[in-house]
Order: sequence, then structure tokens, then C-alpha cells
Amino acid sequence: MSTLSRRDFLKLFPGISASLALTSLYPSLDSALLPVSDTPNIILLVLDAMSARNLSLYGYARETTPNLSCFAERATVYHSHYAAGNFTSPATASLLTGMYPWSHRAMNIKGTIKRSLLEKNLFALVGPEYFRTAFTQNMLADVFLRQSRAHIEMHLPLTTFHLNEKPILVSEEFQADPLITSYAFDNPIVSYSMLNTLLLNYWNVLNWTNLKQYSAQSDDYPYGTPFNTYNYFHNDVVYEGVKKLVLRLAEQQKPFLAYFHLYSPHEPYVPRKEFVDIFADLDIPTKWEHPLSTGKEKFSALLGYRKHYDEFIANVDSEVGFLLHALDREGILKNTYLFILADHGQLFERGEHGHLTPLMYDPVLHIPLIVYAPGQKTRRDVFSPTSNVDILPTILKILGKDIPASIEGKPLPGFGGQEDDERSVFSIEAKRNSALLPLTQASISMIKGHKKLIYYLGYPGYEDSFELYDVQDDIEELNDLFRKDIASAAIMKEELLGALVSSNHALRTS
Amino acid sequence: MLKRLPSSKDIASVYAVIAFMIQIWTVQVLFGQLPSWSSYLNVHEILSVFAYRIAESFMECLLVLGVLLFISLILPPRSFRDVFVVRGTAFAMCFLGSIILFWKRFESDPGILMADYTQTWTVGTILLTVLSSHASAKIEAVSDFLDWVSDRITVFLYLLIPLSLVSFITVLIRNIR
Repeated sequence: MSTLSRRDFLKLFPGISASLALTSLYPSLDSALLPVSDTPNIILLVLDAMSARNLSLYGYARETTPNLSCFAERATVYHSHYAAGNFTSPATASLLTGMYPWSHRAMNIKGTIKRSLLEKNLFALVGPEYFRTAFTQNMLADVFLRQSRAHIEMHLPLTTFHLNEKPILVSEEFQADPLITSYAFDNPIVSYSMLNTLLLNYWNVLNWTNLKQYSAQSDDYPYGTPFNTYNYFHNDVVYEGVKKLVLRLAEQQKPFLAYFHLYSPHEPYVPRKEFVDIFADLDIPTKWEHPLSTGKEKFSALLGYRKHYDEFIANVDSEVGFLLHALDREGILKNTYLFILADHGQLFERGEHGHLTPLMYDPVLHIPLIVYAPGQKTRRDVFSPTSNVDILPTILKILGKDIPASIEGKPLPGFGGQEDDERSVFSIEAKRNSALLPLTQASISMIKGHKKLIYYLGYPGYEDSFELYDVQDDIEELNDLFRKDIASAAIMKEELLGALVSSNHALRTS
Repeated sequence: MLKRLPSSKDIASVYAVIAFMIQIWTVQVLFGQLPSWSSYLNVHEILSVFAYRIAESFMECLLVLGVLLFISLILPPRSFRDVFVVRGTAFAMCFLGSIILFWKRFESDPGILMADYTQTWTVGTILLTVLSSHASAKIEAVSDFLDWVSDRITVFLYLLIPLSLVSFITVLIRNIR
């Protein structure tokens, strides 16, 4: 058995030709040769900004996810699964640590996980008996992989599957210091918001000779080519690469943990031509513009964004279907737990488009979760509230490992946990709050049963405001019950404020 | 061959101009990013980021100086070595000033990266740099001004060189396994 190194894998990816190179390699992998270990493999497939509210798997009127729905027939589907934050940094950090943002403190854009928790994250706790692999196309999530690199055997660079000339990632040359060099050098051309180096950046830009060809619309991509903050990619190439990597991982002696955090269907919504204009218009209720809406988008514009988003989801669903089919065909799923989920959702209402928002309505928090267990043949549906903080304890439970007391999540129902309708699940947005200080400006959502309380803390002009919704009977969150269902509001308010005080106290005393 | 190199005093004067432009720009960009970093990075990490960036800018300074010294080696002494301070200062100010101006434009309009703007800007920068370097030694007032500028800026070396060396050593230490 060989040991797959990061460099071995990267050698296969000099660019778009990589997919062709791997295609020629593919037939040599015979499923009969794949070892079936006593220890199951774990794959996490995180789809960035994929809201459960836009998936036909969860009852959405547009048929966006036929492949996921098909796969769900032999998996466990969680219907009230929530992100712990409303954008990548807090939400992904919660997934990796099993803690809420007020504990792991990765609450700012490009924020980091509290240093003392780095020995208690997914990669560290799964342990070296697993071959741990991680790849993300999202620069905010990559921060955490860099923080965890001591516990990851193979961390693929952000640019691994990109089409265009890659910018020079200086941080890749400093393997001993991946996080600091990322902050020092690798923002620049990428985030469009900041500069780093004078001449090196200019050299990078000069080498972007083929950038323009991808930025334009094409026959295959009528809205343009998929793009993340680190340039252009094609989803078929990305998913093909992921598939090949998993097949290579399955050849290892060790069982593997593979974390894939893929960018689509994150904005920009740029489906392939087969998915353009496939959906009819929907009858969507108009909602009042929220005072904290940062976008102030017109309703008609939001409808347009939503339609393209749905088309892009259908495109992603197709790629996921291709991947799942391949993994099944090659026998990988016989010995693998597969988690398909999102980091957070996406909002198209109340004047807001996207997820960099103080708003905490369900489309940006309610996310999909499908868990496949080896050999599972039938579907199971779980309706009690769950959260991305539950993923890590679930994996530890599956692997028979101890769950540290500091973890705020619980094993998922069906994987060692019990359904608990009265459990409180939190989501926290505090990107303007210093991670080093107690929360004084934040949006906090608390789900309990089918009620949802939202607390807006410290926003000028909207200080200390609460909203309460019944997310089962009022799925669009149109009827604020805070002053109507006073009993529920009082109980939930007390619990939420108590949790906030505890978290702030814990920070002060840590 | 080494006789074609300018004196160490002249080299220091031109290096001062280069370092002033690159490293002061780097520091002002760093300070612009500081409020964001201070939200989630600790002091040690922020200083480490500073060290990497200053060390990298030090390399850029040496690179630009190296180009000028190379030009001095290959051109007749009278056309470059003897007027190294004036021509080197003009070169540094025009070349680096143009790149700084590019990034200033980028800050207000990131879309310029998507246009065929960069190549045009690069050609313009090179032409401007060559022409201004050539003309600078021929106009006495300009020569005097550039001499004066480089002389005044030299004082910053007392700050920038120790800062660069400390940063460079910090980077080395952080990468010793």
C-alpha cells in the first residue's frame, strides 16, 4: 500500500489538464482492490451557502435536488438542521469544533478559532490513526484548515482545481507557518479589498493574462464561469478531482477522514447551460424590508437572484449525484459515513441578498443535512432541531471516541443521540464584535421546538430588539409573535439572555 | 567590473529612496489592515504578520536596487554610474510611484484588473521610467532636486534597515523547524 502525500496529489493537478490526467488514471482503480477496513472512513461534503429552503429535498416548489432526494432514500435526513452562524467563518468553525461562535470566537470575516481549542477540533480529535485530508475553495474556511494543519496529513491549497493561471500563494512556501503567512500575503488579489505587497502583487496581476476569457459569458456558462475569491473553476473538474482523491484515499492502509468544503452554490450563481432557465416563476410573498437590511435590494431583483441561485443548486446537485454514484459504484460507501451539509444558507428577502447580514431568518440558517451510514438501505427522517455543532460529537461517537465536555453539540439522533424537540439550538452573528471581547453587538437566534427567537443586540437604532416566529406554522416568518405569545417569548428570552451572559462570563474568566 | 558600481554612499542614497517608497507604502497598508486583525489576532500574531510583510518588502527593495546596479554594470560609467543617485532616484520614484498609483486606482476600482489595463499600465510605467531616468540628469534643476531628495531620505535608513533586519530574522526563526 502506498502513502498518498499532498505533493503526490498536487503533481496531478497542473491546471485544467489535471482532470484529463486523472481520467486516464481512473480505470486503473479497481473497486475489488479497495480494502474494507474495520474502521469506517468519514467524508464531509460541505456545500457553501446552500439553504435547505431552496432544496426540493425539503419540499421546495422548484425541483432543484433530484439527486440528493434520490440519495436520501437510503440516508438519514435532518429536517430542522441549523447553521451555528450565518456566514462561513463562524458557521464552519462551529462545524469543526462542535462549539457555538461565542465559544470558538471565529466570528469576524477571516476570523480564527480560539487557539486553546485547536487541540479539540475535528482533525485533532479524530486523531492520527486516520489519514486526515482537507480541501476548501473558501478562503475563510481555509483559515481553519491552516490553523489545524498540524493535524491534517493532506491539506490541498485553495487553488487546486482552478482553471486560470494561479496567483502566487506565498503562504504555500512557508509550510511551517501557514496561518500567519496567509494573513501576510494571500489576501490581496483575491478579496479585492486589501493590498499586501507592492511588486509581488503586481507581478501576480500581470500573470492574469487569461482571466478575462473566463470572466466573459460563454456558450457553456451563459452567466459566466464559476468564480470564488481565488479565481475561476468548473464544477465538473472540481467534483472529478474530489472523486479521484477519495479513490486514492481508499487505497491507503489507514482509514481516512476527508473534509471537502466546496464553493458552489455560493454567489455568483453561474450554472452550466443545461441548468439555465429550467424553472418557472414562483409565487413568493413580499416581505417588509428589515431596518437592519444592508442590501436594500428591490423585490424583483431578489426574485431574479433566487432563480439563478436555484438553477445553480440544480447544477451542483447534478455534480453531487455524479460523485455519489461514483463512490457507490467503486464500493467506497460500503465502509464510509458520508455527511452532506452546508455551512450556512442564503437570503433573498426583506431587502437582503446573501449572507453577510445581521438578519437571522431561516433561509440563511436552515441548512441541509443528510447522513449516510455504511450499508444503510432505508430512509430515516429526523424533525427535531439539530445544529452543525452536532457534527463533531456525532463523528466522535461513531468512532467510539470520547466527546470532550467543552463541546456544546450532541450526537445526532440516529447516531447515538436522541430526538429532543425541546432542545435549544443557537445561531450567532457577531462579525462587528471583537472576538477578544464580550458580545455587545450581535444577532442571536434560538430555536426551541418549532419556535424561533431572534435577538438583535447593540445595533444603533435597533437596540435590544426581539422577534419570535413559529417556523412550523409560519414558515415564511411573517407573523412576529413576540408581543402575542408572551409566555413563550418570556421563557425563551430568559434562556437566550442567560446563555449570552454565560458565554460573556466564560470569555472574561478564560 | 566592480569599478562600474557606484560608491556605497550613492548606493545607500538610492536604496533609501527605494526603501522609503516600498516600505512606507507597506507600513501604511499594514496600518490600514490593523483594525480588522486586532479583532481576532493577538499581538504576537499581528507582529508576526508585520515581520513577514516588512521582510518581503525588504526583498523587493533589494530586487529594485539589484536592477539598478545591474544597469550600472552594463552601461558606460558616464551614463549611469556617475549619475547614479540622480538617475537611480528618478528610476525609483517613477517606477515605484507608478505601481503605487496603480494600486491606488485599484482600491477605488477593482475592475481594472479585469480590463487589459495592466499591460498598458506596465508599458507606460517602463517608458516613463526610462525617459525620466534619462532626462533627469540632463536638467540641472531636476538633478539638484533628486540629489536633495535622496540626501534627505537617507535618514530613514536608520529606521528602515534595522526594521528590515529584525523582520527578516523573525521570519527565519519562525521557519526553523
